[in-house]
Amino acid sequence: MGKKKKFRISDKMYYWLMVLPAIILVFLFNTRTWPGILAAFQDFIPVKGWYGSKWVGLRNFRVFFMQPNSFGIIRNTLVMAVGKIISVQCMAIAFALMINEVRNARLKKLIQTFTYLPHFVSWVIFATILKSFLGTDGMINMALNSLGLEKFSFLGTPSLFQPLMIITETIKEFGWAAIIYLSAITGIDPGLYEAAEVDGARRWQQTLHVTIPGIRYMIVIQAVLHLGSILNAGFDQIFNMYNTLVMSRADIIDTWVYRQGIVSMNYGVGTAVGLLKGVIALILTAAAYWAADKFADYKIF
Amino acid sequence: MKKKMTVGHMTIIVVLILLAIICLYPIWYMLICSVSDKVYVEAGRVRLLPKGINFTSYQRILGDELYFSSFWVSVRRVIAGCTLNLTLLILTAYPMCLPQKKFPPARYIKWFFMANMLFNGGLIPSYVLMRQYGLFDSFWALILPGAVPLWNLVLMVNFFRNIPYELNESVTIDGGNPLQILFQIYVPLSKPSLACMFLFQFVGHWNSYFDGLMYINDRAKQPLQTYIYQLSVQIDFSKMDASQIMALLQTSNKTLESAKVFVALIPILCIYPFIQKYFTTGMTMGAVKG
Repeated sequence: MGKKKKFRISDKMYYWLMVLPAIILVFLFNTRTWPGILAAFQDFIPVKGWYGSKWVGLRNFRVFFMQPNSFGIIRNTLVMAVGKIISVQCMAIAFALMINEVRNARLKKLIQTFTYLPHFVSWVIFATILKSFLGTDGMINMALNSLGLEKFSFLGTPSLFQPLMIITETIKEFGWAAIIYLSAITGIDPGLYEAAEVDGARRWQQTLHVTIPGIRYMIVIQAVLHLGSILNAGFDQIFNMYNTLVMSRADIIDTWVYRQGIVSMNYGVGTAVGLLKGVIALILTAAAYWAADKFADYKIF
Repeated sequence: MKKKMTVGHMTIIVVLILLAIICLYPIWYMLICSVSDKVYVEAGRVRLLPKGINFTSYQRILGDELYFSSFWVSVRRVIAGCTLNLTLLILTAYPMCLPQKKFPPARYIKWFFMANMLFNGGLIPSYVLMRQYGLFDSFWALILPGAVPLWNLVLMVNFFRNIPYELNESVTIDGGNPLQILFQIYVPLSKPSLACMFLFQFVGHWNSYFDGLMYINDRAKQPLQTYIYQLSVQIDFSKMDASQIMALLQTSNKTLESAKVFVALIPILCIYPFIQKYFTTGMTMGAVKG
């Protein structure tokens, strides 16, 4: 018995043993990717490794900016990312305000159940479904055909691609994005509505003068926090929906990096562009959190 | 309190119901296509209700070995992945939530995790690293890179901090070790947030396809979402000759594809009612101040 007591592991030892597995895994699979960014400045060849590959300075970055479509890729990324943020958030706010007016609890629950569901469906599946609507032999074209109209390639028309991405993203995500506004609405003091009613405010006037000012704080925070993702145009969605016909309007930074780096095995160029995007995104995210903390006292960490 | 419904109110309800239908319809459409007769589906005549109901496409799935092996990979991945994620979350969050004096290195460990959360080498370095580790075509390539969900770890630590530290002492007096404290006090008290995290990890694992596409070439070892991705996306007509395209068009079968997609949706649909309870928790937990 006495011997056993001697070998009792100290609490500190326990703590170390508890955090160690996570530290090791994070180190192996995340920290160890950091030296990999050196490949951005190399003509990287995997068998030669980071020590044996030739240094090429900024050539990999130049490869991206010298190619004819680089401006188009950046524009596509920004247009789709910003378009999606604005569209999804506006729709979410409108939806939250509308559903707040539904008094029948069961109907409210039912609508919420259905509108949140698409968020949990993967883009692989959602894209497959959308193609079965919009494809050249999809339902819509078959309906057009039976009316005696020409078939129309929705997914093969470059000018339609970006609006389509923004609309489908909105359908998939608006319900989910509304939750945060709904919880902000629940937090509004009911006394304010009573006071407004005493003053003779109608329902829509209450929305205008009580609800909207009540969630203005949350709208500002969401807008600021999304600043960090204006370079994320949604890889999964575009990767699953694009094709060679619409490349000029569909290609974004992430898809370009994937094709260059993994498919064509230009590791150096892929890493360089990925790094550039990562650094800009990091600065934007840091700025967004700093701003949210400073102006709205919103802390995450 | 009961008032007469105004026109505005009615409009809102109609708009909301329309939105709900738009959100549900894609999934409904897969279901009705999968149980309809192929001829009606391909003519675009199946729109609201199934026509010529039959289950041949489901019978054909039963005979598709590749589909089943992928399904099985996904099931194993969800089980192994969620178990590992949750175990690591619980174990790591506890020492991190203690008062500064009890475990001083926690400060530096926190910075380590934060740095890793904010910065990752990116797509290509991860790919090269996985190749160096020899994890290509391995089941573990799907599990290990995301084994520690760092963002959830931050939430978990914040949650544990809200549990009064005094509760620790009731166990230490009885001679309990930190693991006992964790599993007798912290885990039971945080069941709701653990359930919430489990469900979101479940969905994450079930839905991911990209790691399967990058790290696994053997089609029998790819998860189900990667299988479905290959079904529709990877058909590259430019690399085929006319006869191949013709053959493909003849075998392309919308009812079968719908059945495959619908079966892949079933686990999500099954777990969805349970997730619902945690929607607000899941979305607003990030706002809890540490």
